[in-house]
Amino acid sequence: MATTSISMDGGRAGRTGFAGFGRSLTRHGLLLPCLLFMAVVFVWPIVSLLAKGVYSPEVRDTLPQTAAAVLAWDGAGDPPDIVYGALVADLSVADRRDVANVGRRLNYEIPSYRSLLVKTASALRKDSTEPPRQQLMAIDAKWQDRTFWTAMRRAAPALTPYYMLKALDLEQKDGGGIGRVAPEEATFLDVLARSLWISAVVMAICLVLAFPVAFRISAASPRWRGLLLLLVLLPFWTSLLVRTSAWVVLLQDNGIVNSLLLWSGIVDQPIHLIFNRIGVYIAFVHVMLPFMILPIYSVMVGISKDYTRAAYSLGASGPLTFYKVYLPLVWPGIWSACLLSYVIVVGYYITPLLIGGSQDQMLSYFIAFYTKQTVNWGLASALAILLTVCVLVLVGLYGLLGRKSQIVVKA
Amino acid sequence: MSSPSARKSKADIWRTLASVITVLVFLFLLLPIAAVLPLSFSSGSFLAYPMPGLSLRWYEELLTNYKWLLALKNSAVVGIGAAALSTVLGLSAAIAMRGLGPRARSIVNGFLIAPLVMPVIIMAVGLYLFFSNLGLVGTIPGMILAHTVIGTPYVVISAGAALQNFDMQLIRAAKSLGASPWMAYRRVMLPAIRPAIVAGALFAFVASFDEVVIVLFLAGPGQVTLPVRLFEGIRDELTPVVIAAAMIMIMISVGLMTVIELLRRKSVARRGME
Amino acid sequence: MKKSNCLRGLLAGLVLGGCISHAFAEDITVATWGGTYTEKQRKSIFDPYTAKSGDAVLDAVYTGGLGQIQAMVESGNTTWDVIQMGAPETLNACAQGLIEELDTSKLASAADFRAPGITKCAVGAIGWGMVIAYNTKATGDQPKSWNDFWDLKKYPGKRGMKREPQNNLEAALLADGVAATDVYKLLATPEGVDRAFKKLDEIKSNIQWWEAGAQPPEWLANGGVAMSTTFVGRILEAQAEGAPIKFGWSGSLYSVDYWAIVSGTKKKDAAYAFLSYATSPEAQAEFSKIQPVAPVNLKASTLLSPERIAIMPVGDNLKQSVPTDSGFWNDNLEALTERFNAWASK
Repeated sequence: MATTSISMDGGRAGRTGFAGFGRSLTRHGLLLPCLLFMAVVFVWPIVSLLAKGVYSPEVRDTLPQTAAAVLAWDGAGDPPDIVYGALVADLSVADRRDVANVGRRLNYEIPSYRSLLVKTASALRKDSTEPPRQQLMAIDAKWQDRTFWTAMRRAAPALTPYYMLKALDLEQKDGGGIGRVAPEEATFLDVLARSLWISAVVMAICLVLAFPVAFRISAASPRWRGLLLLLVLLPFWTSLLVRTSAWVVLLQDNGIVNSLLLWSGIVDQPIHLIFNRIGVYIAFVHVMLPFMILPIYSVMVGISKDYTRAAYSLGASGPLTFYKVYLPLVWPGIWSACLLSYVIVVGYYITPLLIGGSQDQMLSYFIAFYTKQTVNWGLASALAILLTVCVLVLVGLYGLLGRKSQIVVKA
Repeated sequence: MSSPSARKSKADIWRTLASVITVLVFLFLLLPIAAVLPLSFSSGSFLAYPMPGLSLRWYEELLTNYKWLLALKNSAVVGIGAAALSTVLGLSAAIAMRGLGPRARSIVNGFLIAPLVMPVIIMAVGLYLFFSNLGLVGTIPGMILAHTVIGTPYVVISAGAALQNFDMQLIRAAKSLGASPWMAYRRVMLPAIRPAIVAGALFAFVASFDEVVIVLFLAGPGQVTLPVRLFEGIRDELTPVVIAAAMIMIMISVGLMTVIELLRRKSVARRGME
Repeated sequence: MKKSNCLRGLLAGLVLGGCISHAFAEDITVATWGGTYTEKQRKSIFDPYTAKSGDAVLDAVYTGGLGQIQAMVESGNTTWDVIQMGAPETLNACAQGLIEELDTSKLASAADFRAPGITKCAVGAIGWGMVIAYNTKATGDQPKSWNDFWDLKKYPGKRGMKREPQNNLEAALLADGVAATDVYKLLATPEGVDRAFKKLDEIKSNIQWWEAGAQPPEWLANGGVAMSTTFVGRILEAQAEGAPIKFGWSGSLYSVDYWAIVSGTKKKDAAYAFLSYATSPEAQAEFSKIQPVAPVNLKASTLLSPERIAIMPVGDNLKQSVPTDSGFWNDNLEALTERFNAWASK
C-alpha cells in the first residue's frame, strides 16, 4: 500500500484535462483541512517533542536571578555572594512543584541535588537576617561545595547541549570542554549502532528470501498468482501483536520449536531462542517479509517477458540477462522495499520489547523508557532526534539514489 | 558457449530453487500462526502441547470478562472514528491534489504520507506530551485524532490511485450537461472511485485496529484497545485466553482483507470496462 | 445515497457515544500494579468497598516510575485518583507535589499506622519482600542465599532478575559478602557501585531480565530459569498448581508500598473515603489472606492465622530479610538507572 505509492511517487504527471476545473475551490477548500490537521496533530507534536531535546528552561524560568548571577560568574574559584543571595531570593518565591522540576534537571548533573534543593527551599526562612551564604550553609554544608554551583551554571541556559551530548555518550566536563562519558556509562552510541545493525540484518535476510518468492509469484499463472498473493497478505494482515505473541509462545524454552527440536533429536536440551538476538531476528523477519515481497512483486509483475526474451534472442547468457536486463528493471521495487523495511525496523518498539533481552533493545525502547519511567523528557527527546535524523537520512538517500536508479532504468 | 538447452536447464535450476525457497518462506510465514491457534481450545492454562483436553473455556472467559469486552468496544469505536475522519480528510485532499502542479503535488503527497515512515514511538511520545496539555490523554477523542494521523495516508494513497485512473472528461461532460461542480463530483466521480474510497477507509480502520504503541501512551484504563489488552495479556498472564483473543483478531482481519480484495477486483473490473 | 447517510449517522453516533460515556463516568480510578495482583485487590478491597459505598472502582495499570503521573498532574488532567506506589517514588512524588499531602483527620485508620508506615504524603499499603525462588528440579539442593544465587557451578542455569537497579545492586553486594547494615553506605560511594556491577558481571550472561511479576513463576515453572528474584504471591499460586518451585526468606529485600492521592484529583473526598477503607485492618487483612504480603496497619495481623503469617514478610521472616532504603533510592535512582541501563544493554 504505502509501498506501491512510494515507488509510484514522482511517477505520472497530472492529466492535462483537469487543469481548468474548479481550481481554486479544490486547491484550497479541500486541501486545507487535511493539511491543517496534519500540521497540528502530526507535525506540531513531533517538533515540540524534538525541541525538548535542546530546550530546557527550568532553571532559567524558576530561578531567574540565580541563573543570571551564576552565568555572570566565571566559574573559577568560589561563587560570589550575589549568587547565594539570588538563590535565596529565587527559592523564597518559587512554587514547590517548579522547584522540584529544577531539582530533577539538576539531579542529572549531580545525584542528590534534588533532595538538597527541595530541602533548602522548605528550610529557608523569610525573616532570617543572616547573610544568604551563611543561611544556605546552615541548611546544608553541600552548598560549600563549588561543584554544585558549576552544575547550576551548566544547567542555567535555556538552550542546553546536555541531552544531545548525553544521547551521543558525551558530556560537558567541569572545565568547560566536551569529552566522552565514563565507559561504564556509555550507552546510546551502542544502542544506535545496534538499531542500525539489526535493521540492516533484517533487511538483508528479508531481501534474500523475498526476491525468489516475489519472482516465483510473478511468474506463476494468474490463478496461482492470486492464491499465492493471498498467502502473503494473510500474515501481512494479521495483527502484529498476534504474530509477536505467536512467537513468544513458540520460542519459549518449553515451546513448540524446542519440543520439536528435542523430539527430533537435533538438540538434547532446549536452546534459548527468546529474550536474545536470535528471537528478535526471527520475529522481525516474519513481520517484515510481506513488506519486502509485495513491492518487489508489484514491480516484477509489470515487467514484460519481451525484455528478457529479446536479450536471449540477442545471444545474452542467463546471468547476463539477469544482471543487465532483469535486475535493473526490478531495481526500483527493491529500493523502495529495502527503504521501507529498514525505516520500519529501525523505529520498532514492540517486537524487541516482547522478544528481545536487555542487549537487544533499540532506540525506541529508550525513548519510551525515559518518557514514562524516569520522566527524563529531555533525554527521550534527544534520542528521538537521533532516530528522526536516521530516518530522514535514509529517506533522503533513497530519494537521491532511487531517482538515479530510475534514470538508469530509463536509459 | 552456453547452448540454448544448457541455458534452459540452468534456468530450470534457478526456477526450482526459487520454488523451494517460496515454499519454505510460505511455511515460515503461515505455520507459526497456525501452530499456535489450536492452543486457544485447550482446557489447561499453559501454552504448551500436548493439551490436557479441549474446551471453549478461554473463549468464554474472553466474552465474559469486562476488560476484553471493553477493549473490543474501544477498538471498534476508535477504529471507526479514525477511519471516518481519515476518509473525509484524505479523500478531500486526494481530490484537491489533482488540481496541483506535479511538483506541488509531489510535495503535498510526500507530506501526507510521511506518517507511514515516521517511527511510531516518536509520534506516540510527541502526542502524549502534546495531548497532556490539552487534556486529551486518556480520552477516546484523543485516540481517534491520533489514529487519524496514521489512517489518512492510506486513504490519500488509495483514493489518489483511483483518481489517477478516473477520466476527467466525464466531469466535463457532466458539467456541459448542466450539472453543478458539486453534483458532478457526487454523481460522477464518487461512484466511480467508491471501491477505492471504501478500501482506503478499511485500511485506515485496520491501521487503527492494529496500532499498539500510540495507545500504550495515550490510553487510560477505560480506553485500552484489543491489541494493548493482548500486549498486557502476553506480559501478565500468558494463558490461552491470549490466543483466543488473537483468533478473534485474525478473523476480523481476514474478514476485512476479503472485503478489500473483493473491492479491488471490482475496481479492476470497472477499469477494464472503461 | 440513503444508505450512506444511514452509515454516516451510525458513525457519528458511535463516536459521540464513546465521548459521552467517557464524560459521565463518575468512578474512582485506582492505579496499581496490574494482572492477578489487581484482580485480588479487586476481590478483597475494591468490590467490598463498592458494595459498601456505592462508588465503583476502576483500575489502571501503573508500571512504576513517575512519568505517567507527572504528565497528568502537570497538564491538570488527572485521570487517576489514588495510586499504589513504591517507597522511593512516594518520597520523590511528594517532594514534587505530584501526590497530595495527607490530611490524617480525613483518614479514618491513620492512628493504626506508625512511621515509616505513614509518611507526609502516603500511607502504607503492603510490606513485601523480593525473594529468591528456584526450580527444585533444576537446583536439587536448596539454595539459600545470594551467594548461592551467584554460584553458577553449584546451581547451573539462567537467573531471572527484574530489569532495574533496585534490589539487584543490594543483592550483588550481599553476595559479595557485604554486611546487610553496610550495603547502602557502600552503594553511596562510586567504589561501592562499581563493586556491585562487577559482582553482577559474574552472572550477567546468565541473567534473563523480567519486567512483569508474572514472568518469574512462568519461567521457573517451565524451566526457562533455574532461579529468580520474584514476588512471593505468584510463586504460591504456581506452587498451588503443582509447579516445582520453592523460595526462601533469607536475604530477601524488604520494602513497603504505599497508597497516595494523586494531586489535582477532582474526587478528593472519594479518594479519602477509599483510602480509609483500603487501609482499615479488615481490608488489609482480607488482602493478605489471598496475597502473601504483610499488612502495614498494626491492627491487621491479629486478624490473620499463624499459617498465613508464616508465608508473609513479618516476624521471623522479616528478621531474615534486609530492609531497603527508600531515601537512598530517591536520591540515586536516576543516576543508577542510567548506569544500570548502560551496563545491561552491553
